[in-house]
Amino acid sequence: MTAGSPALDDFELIERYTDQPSRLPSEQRAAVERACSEVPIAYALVDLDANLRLAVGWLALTPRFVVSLPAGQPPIARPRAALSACSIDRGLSCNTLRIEFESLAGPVCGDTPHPGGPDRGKAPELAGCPPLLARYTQRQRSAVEKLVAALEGDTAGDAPASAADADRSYAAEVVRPLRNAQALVSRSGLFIIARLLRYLLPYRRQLILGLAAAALITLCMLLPPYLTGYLIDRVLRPVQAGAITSERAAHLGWLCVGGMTAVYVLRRAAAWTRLRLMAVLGELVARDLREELYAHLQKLSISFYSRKKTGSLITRVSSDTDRLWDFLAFGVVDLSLSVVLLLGLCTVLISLDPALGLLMALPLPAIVLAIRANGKRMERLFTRAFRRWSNLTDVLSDTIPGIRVVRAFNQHTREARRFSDANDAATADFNRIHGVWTSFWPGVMLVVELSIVLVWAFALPRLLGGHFLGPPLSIGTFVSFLLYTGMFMWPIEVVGQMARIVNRATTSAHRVFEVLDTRPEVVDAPDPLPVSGLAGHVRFDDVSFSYDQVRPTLRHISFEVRAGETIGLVGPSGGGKSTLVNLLTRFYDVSSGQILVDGVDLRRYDSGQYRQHVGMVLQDPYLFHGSVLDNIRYGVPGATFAEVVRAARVANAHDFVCKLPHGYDTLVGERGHTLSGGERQRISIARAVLSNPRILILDEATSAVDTETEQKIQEAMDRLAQGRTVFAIAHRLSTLRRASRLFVIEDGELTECGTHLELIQQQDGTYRRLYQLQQQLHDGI
Amino acid sequence: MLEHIPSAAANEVQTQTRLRSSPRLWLGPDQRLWLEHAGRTVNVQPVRCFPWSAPGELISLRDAEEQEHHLVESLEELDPVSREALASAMLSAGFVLEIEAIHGVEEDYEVRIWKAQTRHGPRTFQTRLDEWPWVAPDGGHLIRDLCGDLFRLPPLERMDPKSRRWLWAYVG
Repeated sequence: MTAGSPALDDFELIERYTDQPSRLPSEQRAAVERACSEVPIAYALVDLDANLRLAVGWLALTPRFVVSLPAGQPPIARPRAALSACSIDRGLSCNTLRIEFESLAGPVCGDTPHPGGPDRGKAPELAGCPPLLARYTQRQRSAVEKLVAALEGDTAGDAPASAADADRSYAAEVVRPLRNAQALVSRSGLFIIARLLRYLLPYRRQLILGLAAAALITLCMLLPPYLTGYLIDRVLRPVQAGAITSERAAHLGWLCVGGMTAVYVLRRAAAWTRLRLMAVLGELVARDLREELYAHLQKLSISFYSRKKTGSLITRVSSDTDRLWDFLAFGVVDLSLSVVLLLGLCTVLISLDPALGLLMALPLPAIVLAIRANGKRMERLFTRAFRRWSNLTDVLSDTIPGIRVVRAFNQHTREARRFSDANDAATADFNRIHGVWTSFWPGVMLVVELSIVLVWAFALPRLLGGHFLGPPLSIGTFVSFLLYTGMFMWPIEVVGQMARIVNRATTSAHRVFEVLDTRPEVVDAPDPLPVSGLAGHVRFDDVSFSYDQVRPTLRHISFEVRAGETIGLVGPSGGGKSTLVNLLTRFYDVSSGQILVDGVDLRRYDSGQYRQHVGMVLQDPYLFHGSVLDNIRYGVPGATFAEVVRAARVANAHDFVCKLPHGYDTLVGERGHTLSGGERQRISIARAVLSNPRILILDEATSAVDTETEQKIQEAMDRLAQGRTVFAIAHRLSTLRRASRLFVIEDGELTECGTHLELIQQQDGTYRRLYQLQQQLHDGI
Repeated sequence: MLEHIPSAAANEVQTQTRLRSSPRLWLGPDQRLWLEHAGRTVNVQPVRCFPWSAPGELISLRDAEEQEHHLVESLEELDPVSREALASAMLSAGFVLEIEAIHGVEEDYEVRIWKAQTRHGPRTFQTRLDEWPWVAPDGGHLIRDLCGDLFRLPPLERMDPKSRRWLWAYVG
């Protein structure tokens, strides 16, 4: 986030959402400096004391010391050089960190502030020191563990190096869960509305015309009551009293009727113009937003997609932009119109008759407030009802897919009862909502109608010629007055709902702008090298990587693979195999070290062009909605039919495709679910064959199919692998026998490397153990 | 085996036999829980099998590699010192923030903000808008915040009227 950005930074988020300090307070900072004469370069809040009460203690690192600052106690400084081990006991909401130190010579334990003078900064002597203990809730977990990683000298990411870095690092870790759950929050709703309105600028002509039409509608609404009053007072009553001739009255009367007709026609024309212009304008803005959003999504790093749920991203492109269309097309105009209309009505009423006008205008703020309060009440009611509704759908999503289990265990009566309970509870809450709104709006109407009755009560003596609260009142003025009062309800309702309308729009705008403001983590160099052809020589040079910059996933991996070699990656799940190939495809950038392909750092290449030379066949092949043909030539849209068939033959897909009712033109359905797993896999292999990559990644490509299909896929992959550099991940080790070499990746490290025969001869080797286990399992079958 | 022994003596023998075979637990100076059982001494962490339904029964004692070394069926099977050590170790392992009162629940962009007074001090925390408190077997409710911290609400009738009003939309 850039300085001056309207979005809240990490420190402001901590202040807004938590009750903990956003930085290490100056007293604690000074205490650390007094204790060890060094500035803290990393710290974390330790928010539970020894009695498990919430507290504000700190744990800080300086270049040479670990300093514990328990709440209300003096700091305890220990030299990092004497550190022997760190361990964490994880609980539900309390984690306990133990930092142990080796015993050093001398009796001093370092539990007192380090003295100043000539020995400042020297390590205190330790002898049988008790470990430093820190208890903290899950909220501090990430910050504490980053500290531990730095303490163990095992940071895969950027270890904080200065006091400012320490502040930033602490704040970033504390707000990380919030950032993952929430869109970027703006300092003010006005910023976000202003930013949204900027999207209207390209369409300012339509906007001005739309607003002018809206203003015209307001004016047209105010004119007919005035003309009605004029007709009564200046035409009908004078003619009845004989003050003017009937010809003159008829002339004036028809003029008024004609005027009114013109006003109504004008009003409808303005309404049509406004609706048409603003609806189209809103649609254009929503289209622009959707396009910008989708184009930006295509550029974002894979890590962004790991953090955000797919459903949430789809909602942002679809529902959120639709909601913004609604706001821009109608909300903005309706809100401004309503405010203008309300002010206009009050002005007109008070100018027509100050006493009666005030009588009508005074209850307005109370009515607006009541509508607002009712809106809040309804929100609570809806929250409860939606929760009950969610319980109901939970029962459905539990039992419908699991209906065979329900039947098998004869639990349909219990499930029916469970559904019935949830259904009754939801119905009760929705009925409560109906009870509230059906009584609120008649109540509001009653208040408005009572105001009119009150107006009548005050007006009647004056209509009869009296002077009660003003001079005698003409019938025409009073009729105009009554007609104006009838126009109050619509703007009152809109203004009462204003907060909700603006809130909904700003929430959607936040969600959309969050995506637009997210910068891709994998960015090409300013002058990237074009990739015209690759040999496929790969070198990992001391590569470390961490997804969260806290826990390292790969540590100091180094190896070299010649072009055309096939490398089998084996090891326990979660060991880092998939991460390694993700780095090779440059879905992520390394945290440290470098990956060289044909002698060039991967980060120097144009990533788009580089990926054209990398093919992937994954465990769960992804097929797009479309024909088999479209899917095979997804990476090479210009491939000829003959090339597609050749690729399908290599992939052992041609025969089954020919059996499909429409051959290569068969639609495979959403995500390819009309095909079996093995068929989908062979189509994805054909896709890889057609794109002819120099580096090929096979990630558990045969794990989800039966033995016969596996054989066909294996044959296809063997053909595909010829002449390419291949990295193949497989749990079934027998599939990797043809690999040139095998790499065993365990706990983020490359622990074994060699051919099948070499590794099988290592007595205590992991590969040998895994291979023997699989052999035993196979023999057992 | 014990049918020839008078019942009181039989009970005593059973108790002694059980205690001899039962594990011994103690807390080290670093607050770690140590288990001595079947001739082995190992550092363990207690894991409640039924943290809400039966918090005092069936406690799995596991080492850092998640290997179970003993399953304590009931605290009663332990000697007093071991029982106390285990109870003390479980305090932090099973610690959740126990809410005493709710001072406010507000919605902000995509999150719900809860202002609570817990038994351990005041705490403001956030949940997702579609994350609801769920019913605990003891009749209370549990809420998990965005960070993963667990908060326990007592049964509603034990809370003050103001807290009940705040919770009305979310609980019950």
